[in-house]
Amino acid sequence: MKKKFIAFTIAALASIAAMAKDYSDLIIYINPGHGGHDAANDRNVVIYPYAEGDTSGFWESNSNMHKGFFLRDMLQDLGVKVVMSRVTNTSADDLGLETIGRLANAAGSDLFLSIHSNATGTSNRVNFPIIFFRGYDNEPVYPDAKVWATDIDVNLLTNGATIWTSTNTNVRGDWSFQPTWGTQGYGVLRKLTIPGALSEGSFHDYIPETYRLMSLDYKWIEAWNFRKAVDDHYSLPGVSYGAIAGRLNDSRFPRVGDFKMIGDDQLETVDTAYVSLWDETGTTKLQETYSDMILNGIYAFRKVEPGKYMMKVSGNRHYETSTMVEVTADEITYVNLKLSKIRNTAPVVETYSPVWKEGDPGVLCNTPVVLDFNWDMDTASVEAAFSITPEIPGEITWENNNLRMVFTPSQTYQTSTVYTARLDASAKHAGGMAMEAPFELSFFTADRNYMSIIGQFPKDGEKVHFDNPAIEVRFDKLPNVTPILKQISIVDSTGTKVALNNRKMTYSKLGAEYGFFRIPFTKDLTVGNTYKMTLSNEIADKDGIPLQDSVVVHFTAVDAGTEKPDSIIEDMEEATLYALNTQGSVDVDTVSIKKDATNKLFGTSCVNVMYEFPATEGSEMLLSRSALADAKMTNVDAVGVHVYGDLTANEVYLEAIAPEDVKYIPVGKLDFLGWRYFEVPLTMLEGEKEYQLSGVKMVQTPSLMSRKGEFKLDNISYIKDGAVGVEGIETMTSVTVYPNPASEYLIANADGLIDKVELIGMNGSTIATANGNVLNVSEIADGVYFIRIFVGGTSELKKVVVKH
Amino acid sequence: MKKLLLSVMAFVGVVSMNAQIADVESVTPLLKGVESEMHNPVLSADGSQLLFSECDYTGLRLYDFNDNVVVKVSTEARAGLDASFSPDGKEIYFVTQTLQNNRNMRQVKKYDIASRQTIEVSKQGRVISRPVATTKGFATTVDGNLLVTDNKATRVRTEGTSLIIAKNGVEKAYTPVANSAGYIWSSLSPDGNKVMFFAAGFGIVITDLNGNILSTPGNFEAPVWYGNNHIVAMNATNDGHNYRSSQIVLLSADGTQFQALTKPESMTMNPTASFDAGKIVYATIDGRLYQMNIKLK
Repeated sequence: MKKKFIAFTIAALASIAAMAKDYSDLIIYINPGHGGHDAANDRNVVIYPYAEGDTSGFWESNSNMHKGFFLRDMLQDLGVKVVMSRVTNTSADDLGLETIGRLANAAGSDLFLSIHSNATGTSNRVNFPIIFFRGYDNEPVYPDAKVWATDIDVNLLTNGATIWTSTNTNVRGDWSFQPTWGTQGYGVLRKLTIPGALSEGSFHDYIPETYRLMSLDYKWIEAWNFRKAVDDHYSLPGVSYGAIAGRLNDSRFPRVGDFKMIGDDQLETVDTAYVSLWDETGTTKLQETYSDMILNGIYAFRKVEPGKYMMKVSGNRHYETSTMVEVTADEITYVNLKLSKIRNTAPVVETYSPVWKEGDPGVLCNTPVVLDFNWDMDTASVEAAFSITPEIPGEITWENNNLRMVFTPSQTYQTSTVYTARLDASAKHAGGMAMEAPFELSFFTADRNYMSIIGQFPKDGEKVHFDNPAIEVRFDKLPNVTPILKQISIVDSTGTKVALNNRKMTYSKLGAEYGFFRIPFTKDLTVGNTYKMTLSNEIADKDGIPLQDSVVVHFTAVDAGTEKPDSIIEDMEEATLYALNTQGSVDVDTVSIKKDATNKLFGTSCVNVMYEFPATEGSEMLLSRSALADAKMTNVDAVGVHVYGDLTANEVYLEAIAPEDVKYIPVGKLDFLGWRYFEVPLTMLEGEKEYQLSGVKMVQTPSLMSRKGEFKLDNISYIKDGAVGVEGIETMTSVTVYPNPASEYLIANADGLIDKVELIGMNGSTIATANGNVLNVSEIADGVYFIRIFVGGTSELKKVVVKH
Repeated sequence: MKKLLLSVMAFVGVVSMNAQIADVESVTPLLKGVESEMHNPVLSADGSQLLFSECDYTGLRLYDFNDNVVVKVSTEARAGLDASFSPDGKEIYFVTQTLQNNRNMRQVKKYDIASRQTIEVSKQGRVISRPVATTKGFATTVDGNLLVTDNKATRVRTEGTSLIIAKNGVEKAYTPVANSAGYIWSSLSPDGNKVMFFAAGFGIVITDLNGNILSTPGNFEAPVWYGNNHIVAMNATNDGHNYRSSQIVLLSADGTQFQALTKPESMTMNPTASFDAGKIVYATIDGRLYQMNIKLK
């Protein structure tokens, strides 16, 4: 016993003494994660040309195992003892997590590495390494494990043959990374008695990386960087040789694929290219290899003595290129090259648009001319060779690495015109070869080159009821409403922007008879204020055909609900008083007459009429009262009517009946939105007859937008003697009066010099007069009046309210 | 909360009593109220004492079922990995680990339960095999050198893919299963006539003392003897990163009978057993210990 103990002591001391800064006493355990091509715990990413489940395609187990083999061989070459958890790829040797930990401990290991690649588990695509250790981010179970994980991360990030989406340090404690697991952590790390790390070296669901992980050279690079991490961790010297590795891409041609590509991964890879390494002078070839064949362009010279070299690369379809490379010991020199494709034929236009032939409908008047070439083109020579007649200004842009030229006219083409685009034979590809023949295409344009406004509210100079206002514009085609809010500007008289409520915007849908959008204001308008609305000429239909010009509109906010309170003929509180009179109507499809409590102007409700005609012209609709209204009207009187317009431009009339006579009194056109007050002199009635209100009539105005609509009526007032002395009662737009209501002064403004103003009572009598534009109303009784403004021999009449 | 949930699952996760090998008489949580995690239990032969450690085998604690006392044996790294009781239950052998110049150094230690004294019984070494406790001491290897106090005792250990059986002072290496990633969890049956080990990638293997395979009961991890004819082990699945299930199973050593003692979702693992006491102790993944009493049919 004593002898053995002494012998053991000597052996142990010798072992400690042997712990010099070399590799010989190190024991490293490698766990190439996953295994067995079993979808339950392996990861298969389907990439062309491999079918799902094909074990030759990408499986994480294959990739991890290759990296593990390379690392094992590198470390063993340096004298490290390496133990691996598996050396074949079957389900049987995909060991249990408990077993892996136990084996690593039993092997007397110093360091543990579990090799994996990552996936987001989402549609997001990224590519960077993440290295895990056991514990919390800042509280590792083994502090040395975090150091080991950091060594790995730092070295993996030196890989210059890939495209990293982040080069930030990503070293995480598994308890912090997956807090819902508590302290369970990654299974292979939880039972280790030694520093261990789980490397997610890159993202195998980023498809260009998936292809790279098919390359043995690429997996060798990752293994080299693992080996460098071991060197760093133990401050070991590394190897006396270096390496050259990199990625080959085409210089211009885009990579084909419906997967995400980042940076140079968007370029076609150059596969099976011949790569040779020569002495510095290029006279003696030293090594040769080929880039990988699986759509990744990866190549490597794995062992190169330090020094300067010339590297030559040529592909079957690419010009040879050479570059000088300097190799240093223990480092990979990354040389990523972009190769120019051999362009050995003349350029031709392979496809083009618009394609038009005699008998085809005309093409849209904003259609760009697109030319697709067989080669990437010399842009300057092509642009010089391009012309279009009749001449039209436009912009030339290039796409697809200069394989596609696009001419976009900066204004629309003339309608019903033949245009000819021509490319002179002087156009050259990027290799300098010119076209063998000119190219020409012709097309005939459609008969419409601008979008038309067929109705709008407000129009210039119009009044807008202040409460719940909205703007609406109607077009001959459906507008593209996506950018519409950026194409409309509304400011008040101080230049302050007035907001529209885009969330309540309505607009025309496919199949509609005409296009429109309606957008309410965010807030009510201020009565008496003036506003300016600008519709940009960028407003376009869904084909991109724009308005010809911008539209500028000024409008004023008013209260349409002002009237004399004691003269109501009809308060419009009862919708049942009215019904469709079929004998007095022509071609009415449907009509619905209802009480409307939500949009009323007075009382508790108004009458809402929804109607639909069969066509865009020819209809008349008479809504008759069940009994005549009580009020008697004569031709010296007037009526006030509150109408909520629907922008159809259909006309509204009042029906008035006297013994042996019926008159239709025109109220106005519904070419507006929202409430408006009409005051109508009854001069058309026959003298000495007394009329009573018997109904409301609508006459359709021929237009695209007149077929159906919805209007409302509220209080109809009787204005005794309202037609006496009052002429041209319709207000004009160039004259404004404020404040309204007024208590002390009424001030009139007009474009010209105002000679005088007169205040007129509702019976036509002059109440007060003032020279100039200011009228003192401080002594005038409360009520509704007219003010007549005299400007340069003409006059205008405005209704005003005096209120103290 | 999560711990409580898992603990409840481990308790209610016991499989029904209709199985064919044994009746489960009771399942009891051990050391209730202890907040720290308890893993890697090891029962003494008579089932009266229990060793356990942290998840990564750090530290070693001794629980005495009779007086309900827990004693700290070691706080060192790796102490719980290869801990074992002497056959009489009076001593504990274990291996500790320290990091020196970035190299892991290991050393065998012995703890005397009565005096609560620890002594070093080997010098430091890089690779130390699991010390096997025998009636007259222990046997181990330190960097390939055999260190044994009773060379006549029959014993077994593994090295890589070698099964090493010592009889009458003579060690012989066997490779009963080829193409394995390594042998671990070796042990001698209580009567000393059979050897059990786990061949990674293959499963449990039972041999005679000449390395001849007697049976291969199945691919279950961390197997321990329950008497001479039965084995208790863990049956776990994973997704390559994490456990998806883990349960305790009872097997006949000839591989003909199988009984799940806990449900897969109970995440129970690392069993230890005392046939004499009719007792099995296991841990849950979140570090709770449970005692299960069974009676063979």
